[in-house]
Amino acid sequence: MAKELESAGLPVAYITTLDGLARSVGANRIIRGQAIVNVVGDPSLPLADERKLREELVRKALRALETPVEGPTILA
Amino acid sequence: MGPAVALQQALGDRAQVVATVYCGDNYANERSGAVDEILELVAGERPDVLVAGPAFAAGRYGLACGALCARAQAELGITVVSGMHPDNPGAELYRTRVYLASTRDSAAGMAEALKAMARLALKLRAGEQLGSPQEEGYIPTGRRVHLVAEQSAAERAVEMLVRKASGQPFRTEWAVPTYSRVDPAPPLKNVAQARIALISSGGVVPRGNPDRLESAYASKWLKYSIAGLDDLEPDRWESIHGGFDTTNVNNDPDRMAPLDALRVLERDGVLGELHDQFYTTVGNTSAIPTMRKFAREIAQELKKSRVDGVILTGS
Repeated sequence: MAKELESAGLPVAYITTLDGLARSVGANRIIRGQAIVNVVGDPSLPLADERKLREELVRKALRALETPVEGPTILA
Repeated sequence: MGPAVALQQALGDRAQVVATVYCGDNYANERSGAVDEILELVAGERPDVLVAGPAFAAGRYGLACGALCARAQAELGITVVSGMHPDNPGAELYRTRVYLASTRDSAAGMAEALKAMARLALKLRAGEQLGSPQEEGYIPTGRRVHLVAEQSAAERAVEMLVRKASGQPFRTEWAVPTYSRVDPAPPLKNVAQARIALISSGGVVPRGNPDRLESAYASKWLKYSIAGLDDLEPDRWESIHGGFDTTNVNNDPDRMAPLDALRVLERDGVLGELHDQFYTTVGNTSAIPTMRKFAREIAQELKKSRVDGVILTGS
């Protein structure tokens, strides 16, 4: 999906825990998620900390949309 | 006419070329109804076999060959064979339905391509069982065939390892698939002025799944308005994804589709505007062509809605 959207000209920040797989299948802007069963969250954290973690992941994703990449890249 | 002369040679006296249809690549791909016209011409000759191509690496030619063969097989009930390079986009689309001889990428491979296509055509027409793609020279169809191996998997694996380690040629039994690349879309100049859409393949839907999104082998994507919503609340949203334990997401669906964080960042001016539709599907045991189709359809909508960029989440 990420590739098809990008080929339509839309930059896509793909947040996934399987970041290596995403890179090998050719997604271009990849952000590593927290866990498969809670990609953008962490139930072991207090609610406020979990929200901060989620916000940080989304910030990374938004920065990724502004980042020029040459090919499949995992953006820290 | 054209390659049919060499095809006739390859067929020998076991078959006769009765007619050749020719057509420009663009005509076949751009003009709606072009395949209907060709199919009609083919039907008029009442052939037993249709051989299309070889298309080598020519994409539009490959697509036309694949489309014509698939329809001739289904609608005329005749034997069909085409030939193309494995990277031809026609191969990805039609290899599961039509036997495609694996050819070189240019017409320099014409003679061997026609020989392989003729051989496949005669065998298929005679109802003979085909051997493996390597033995018969066709592009793998994705079908699994059971057979009894003489050696156990462990013996074969060790033998392969020994051959590899000692620099001898070896052949894998299951090639790691390679995936096409797409050029990255240009980056956004300023997210703070951009309209961003949220898409998830994590199966997040309104609680109760009113539109019956499948938990595996999804046949569709859905969109839901998130206008005025600041949070995906667990009593109103859930994940019906069938490929992972959804407990954590169902306790807080923002753990898959981070609407709450996006709203905070929107309010703080980090992103310009969040698109008011949330797009969702299930990425579980999904065929790549299906997911590509979903994304293509969603991309069209997003472009109409002047969305600039996408945040996609999935396991």
